[in-house]
Amino acid sequence: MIIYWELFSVFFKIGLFSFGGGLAMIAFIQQEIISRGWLTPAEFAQIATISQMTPGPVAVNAATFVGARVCDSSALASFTGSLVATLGVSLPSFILVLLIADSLKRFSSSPVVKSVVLGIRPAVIGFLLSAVVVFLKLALFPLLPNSTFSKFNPFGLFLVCFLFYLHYYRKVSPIPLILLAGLLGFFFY
Amino acid sequence: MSDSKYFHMFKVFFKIGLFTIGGGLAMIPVIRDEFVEKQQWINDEDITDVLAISQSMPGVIAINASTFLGYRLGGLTGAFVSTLGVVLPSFIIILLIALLFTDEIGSNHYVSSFFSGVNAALAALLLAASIELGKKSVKDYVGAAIAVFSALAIAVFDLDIALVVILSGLTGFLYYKRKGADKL
Repeated sequence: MIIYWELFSVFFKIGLFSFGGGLAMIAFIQQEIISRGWLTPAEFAQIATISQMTPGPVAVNAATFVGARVCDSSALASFTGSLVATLGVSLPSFILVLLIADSLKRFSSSPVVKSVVLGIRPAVIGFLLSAVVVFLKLALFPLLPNSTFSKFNPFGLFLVCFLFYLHYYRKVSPIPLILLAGLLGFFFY
Repeated sequence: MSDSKYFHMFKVFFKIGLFTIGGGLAMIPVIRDEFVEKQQWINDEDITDVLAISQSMPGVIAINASTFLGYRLGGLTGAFVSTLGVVLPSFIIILLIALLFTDEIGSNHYVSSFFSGVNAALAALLLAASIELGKKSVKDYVGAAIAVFSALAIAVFDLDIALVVILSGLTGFLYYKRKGADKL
């Protein structure tokens, strides 16, 4: 019972404090989940990947997936875990939007809201960069079967630079990029 | 508003949840196409409001958008059916994947090599996202300082992200409010 409550409250907190959606939320979820030891970075990386390649909001996908993985003693436990995590991440948005829906114009043009949001947006960049560090480590020092980090792998560095070039300069979109990366990893790691 | 309209809203948001990959902002053009062009339930100004919400409110952008549009179209019930519609496809698909694929990923060399490659892609995607967003979000030295502080706070000092959000929001309030939000 306690784990369900914890899952709900952690995802409620994520829904309440994350700005920027999508990848920024992945960074937030990663930090919350890994610091609690609920999943390893490698397990979370798998979830982050699948959440971006399957349809629907990335944060909802990730919440559902994390809920199922953290409570994996039975199918019913997974279902309940998914349900409370998804409910947790969705509820703050739902409630807050209903609260301000009638006065949206006043809310979003208020100098207080504007200045607070201006302060939070650069922080989101920091969260994204800290998530880059986690995935970079997994790419450069790929995990061994016993879940320890291997020695520095130069191919990993080449791959990150190559993929960054393709995405940032050649505008290759995320899903083909992820598939290409997986195939190259399959053959060359 | 009739029951059939609620059901129709549910169907449309379910379709949006089922067919948009990448979520969040990727959904906005689909929402626009469906509600402005096809159904003509809302106009472009409402889409602008959705963008305002997604930029000034915390949380999942798709849920912010579906709750807001659902409320505009059909009050509390509308907000509920729309949000349920957009969440349900994700929930079903991911739960099935999680239940069907339970293997440990580290156990198979080829699978783990595949995911090592994918991790390189995630690093590249996140880096590109932080550069793109950084160009828009970091407007001055204070912004740059907040970005550096929050990256260090999380990656090195393992501070609580919620605390960093509150501190940076407070800094924004104290600094940008005084500078005059009209110029922002």
